[in-house]
Amino acid sequence: MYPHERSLVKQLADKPFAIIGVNSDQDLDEIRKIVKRKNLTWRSFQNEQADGAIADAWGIRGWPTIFILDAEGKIRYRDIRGGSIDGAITELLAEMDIEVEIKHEDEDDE
Amino acid sequence: MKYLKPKLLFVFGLALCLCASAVAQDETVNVSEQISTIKQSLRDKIGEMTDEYKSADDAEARASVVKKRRTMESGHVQQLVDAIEKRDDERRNIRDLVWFINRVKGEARTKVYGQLVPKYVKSKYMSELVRALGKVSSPSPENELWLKELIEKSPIKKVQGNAVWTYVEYLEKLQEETIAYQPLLLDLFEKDGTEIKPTDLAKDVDEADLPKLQVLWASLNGRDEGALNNEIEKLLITCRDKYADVKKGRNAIGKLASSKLNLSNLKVGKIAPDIVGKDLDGVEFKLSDYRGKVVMIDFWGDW
Repeated sequence: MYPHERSLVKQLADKPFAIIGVNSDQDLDEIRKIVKRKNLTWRSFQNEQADGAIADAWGIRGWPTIFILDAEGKIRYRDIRGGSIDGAITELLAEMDIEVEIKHEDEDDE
Repeated sequence: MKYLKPKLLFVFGLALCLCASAVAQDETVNVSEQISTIKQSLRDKIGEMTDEYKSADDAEARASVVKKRRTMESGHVQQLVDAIEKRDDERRNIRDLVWFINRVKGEARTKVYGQLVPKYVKSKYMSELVRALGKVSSPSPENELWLKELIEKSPIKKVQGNAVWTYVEYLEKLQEETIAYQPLLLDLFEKDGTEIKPTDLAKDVDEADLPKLQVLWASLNGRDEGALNNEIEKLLITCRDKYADVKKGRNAIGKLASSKLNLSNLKVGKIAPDIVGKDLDGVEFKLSDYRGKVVMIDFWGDW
């Protein structure tokens, strides 16, 4: 997942696109190290917030779960995975008249 | 003698009271025993007739078993009604009538309901009826009607609140049962005066399925998926705003309703609810900061 996400963020850096994480790890220090080491440049919420867990409010039953929202904030895809993610993003950007062609170079995770 | 007299009178009076209450108690015990017998008999008969129904050779034979069963049920309900009239115990009377609601059908069931509601609708024990209606395994128009009536007529907030919640569950069940055939189901029957008739479309349907489909059709009462969703949402809002602190079992209805409402906002096509919270460094930010962009939300963990 990380290489795929890193690649998306890099390729779409100048496009109206963002990844937002919701992280469910218990150990914050540990996850901060991982974020740094694996160069995860996008922002993540901590799952546990003062008013409860985000994943509970969002009815998440398995990890990872991915939602894709359009520019209006409307949920357009949920529980999407793998290669179909690229297609979905391409489609939603095309709705904003932005043509992209997403290609991933093979990248090692470490 | 002079001093004894009031004492004697008192003792006599006390004895009379005890005696009278013993008679009343005796009567209650009698009626309760009588009702147990009626229940047992109904159970036995239902068992017998279920076997009979299963071993019936054809549709005609099955229909005759059903008819026999309805008559049998009506007989038992009549006995129950007669017995209950002699017992002045609201709670147990309600409990016994409700016991029948979930076991008999058709006219007999309507009759039980007719005994329950005019007499006891203001009782706090009507929660029993709400619970029973919640347990019904398949939708029928009268269940909906009855829930509505309870919501409207019960003066007890707990009964009302639980009835609204049960109504939500009822509509969800109706949605679930019919979603596979919608919107076709809405066109399978039509009303001809008061009679419900299958349309030409129903010719393609297995005849054995028609009675069940007809009940579902009547339960839908013209509502499609969207209309049901709207009703469910309205009822959930009522639960959240008006009956928030009413308990259903251990949970507060308001909380149950809020979490259902939130989840229904997470379907494809809905505007995502905002997330406001801390990032991994403890700095607060909002999902809505990213409006205007395509956003991929990844619920992740490194494990």
